[in-house]
Amino acid sequence: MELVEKLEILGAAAKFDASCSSSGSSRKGVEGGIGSAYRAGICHSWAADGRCISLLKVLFTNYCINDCAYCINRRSNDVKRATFTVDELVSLTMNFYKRNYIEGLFLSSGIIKNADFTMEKLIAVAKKLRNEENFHGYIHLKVIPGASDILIKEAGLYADRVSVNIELPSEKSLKLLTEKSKESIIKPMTDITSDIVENREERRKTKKLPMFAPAGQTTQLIVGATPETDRKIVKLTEAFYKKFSMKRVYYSAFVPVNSDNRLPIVSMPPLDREHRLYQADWLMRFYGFQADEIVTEENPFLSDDIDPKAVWAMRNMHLFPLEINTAAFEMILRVPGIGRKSAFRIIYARKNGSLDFDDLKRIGVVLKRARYFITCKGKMMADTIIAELTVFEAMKTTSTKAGAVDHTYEQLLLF
Amino acid sequence: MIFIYDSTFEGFLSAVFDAFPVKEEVSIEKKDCWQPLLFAEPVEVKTEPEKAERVAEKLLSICGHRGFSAIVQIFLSEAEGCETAAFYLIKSVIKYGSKSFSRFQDEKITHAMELRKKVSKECDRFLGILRFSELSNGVFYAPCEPDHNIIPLIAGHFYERLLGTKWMIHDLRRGFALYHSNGNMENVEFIDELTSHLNMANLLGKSENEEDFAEMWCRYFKTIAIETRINPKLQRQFMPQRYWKYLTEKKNG
Repeated sequence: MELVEKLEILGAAAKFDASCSSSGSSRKGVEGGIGSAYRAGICHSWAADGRCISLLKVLFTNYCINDCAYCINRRSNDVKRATFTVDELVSLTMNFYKRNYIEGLFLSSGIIKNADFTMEKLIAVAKKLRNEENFHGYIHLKVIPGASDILIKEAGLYADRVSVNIELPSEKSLKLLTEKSKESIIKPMTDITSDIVENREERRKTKKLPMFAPAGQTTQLIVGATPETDRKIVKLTEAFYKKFSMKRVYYSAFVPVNSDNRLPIVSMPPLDREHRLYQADWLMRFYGFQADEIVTEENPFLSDDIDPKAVWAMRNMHLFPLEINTAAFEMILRVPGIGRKSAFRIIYARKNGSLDFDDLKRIGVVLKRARYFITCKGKMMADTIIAELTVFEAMKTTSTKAGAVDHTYEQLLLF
Repeated sequence: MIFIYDSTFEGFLSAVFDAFPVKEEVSIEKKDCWQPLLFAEPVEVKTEPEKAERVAEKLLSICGHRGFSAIVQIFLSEAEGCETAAFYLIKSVIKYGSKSFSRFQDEKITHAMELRKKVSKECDRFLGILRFSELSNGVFYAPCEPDHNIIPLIAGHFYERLLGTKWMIHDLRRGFALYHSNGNMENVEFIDELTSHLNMANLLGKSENEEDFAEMWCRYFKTIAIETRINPKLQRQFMPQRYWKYLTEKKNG
């Protein structure tokens, strides 16, 4: 089989993995080597679905001994199969990298023979890139569920980032749809976390020690294939961040690729739900929110119409309005229409004198949203009416949906 | 009062030096672009390295590398009025210190910082979307036409990343190119103005394997999109169409 055909098969087979990020590592280039790592990560292209392409994301092979219901590569599917050789993958990575197509390699795989055998193949690619090609770009390795800790330790020496996919939000769903046990997934996750903690501690004593997975650990789960609530997913995410110190949790809207009576029948992937979950995720990572504040027991699903930050604010109207010129940073962060950047700008700009609504506009605050929750020098913005219905309507028309930016509010202004 | 200068950064800093004590409103313009006005007689600035140095040192001592590079970025935006905007900001920085960068209460400063944002955004984009192809002589060549004069700002990134390769980044719009080989980076001297705007890939031809890798990348690019999520509007939002001309995976539509 020609290399280009393998690339097509094994690229298509990897496309449902949502992670593409090349962030979290900072490494300078060296003489005689190729590559560096850029802390914030670099997107190199955007595919027709609008998702960014940062790494060459492929499977080592799409042969698999498992038969998971949702997976296109499951054993019982009649699809074209292919396997790369180590040399082919190394050459593709190096040549794509030199042309600035990619930031590095994201390597996952179907399981051949057993977990450790497959894991060794992935490690062999990373090892050759690092040791023989002197490659200093980004490498993200998937850890195969059930892989032994010795191999994980080795993987983390070559890879910037490692990840094990949790795949589904509950043990019950895992049992129903996959052949993976909860232990085979949680065990390597725990191993990675303790390897990272151990490595960082030892590096404090011996600076020269190589860094284990400098860009940390991530995971991914499928949304909408099983009946779990958003609350369950958001709480699970919080646990990943708090207990496993994960860098990211990715959500992948369920795309039906197999017909299987264990799976729900949907015509479109639940993109809006995926979008709301990412918003909730951002609130936890960058805005200081707890899972319980975002989804309550009484309302275990995120709102379709209104983004979670606005939902929280409307539920807590007693905390507002906030005086922009004196409020604490943590509270400014919680105002709908004020992002992290704007919040920082407000704090810095206040040192030059007090702020009014025109200044906020220049800072980048979305006043169509924020006006209901703030005052400037003790005054609300002119013509702001705070009635439950008005605020609700305003939030509804300004909440972005999945995909491109929503411009409906501009049209509504005409009336 | 209008000051005109020779389009170099040194010339601009010299103009800042000369214009600084002036009480009335100042505008600084490139000599080539300046349109004569009926009642205004411009002051022609002499470019003097010592003056430029003094301004640069003063700025560095107040706002450090970060602040200074913000000023450089505003200058490299090449937007109409960028020198005047940068001058206004410099004056404020020298008077009030580096907190001036966050003075959103001042429309003119916000405008200057918006120019800076445009430039740094384009820099970030180009770290990703610049495309090299291997020429028949083994040099990795990246033609481009950025909106702003960003090659000087992004060269360092590619320098340390591609230390082991010979490469050339060529701004065809401005007829400016940088060449790297064995750790040395230098401006390319073109034979004439016309040549400086020509795509070297057409002139020299590509290496034997080049088309194969380009083809594989294009096929990979197509196959990685999820059919049920196709969203061209979102794609264009991240990767505006004006940049497609030199994108290996997009130049054929």
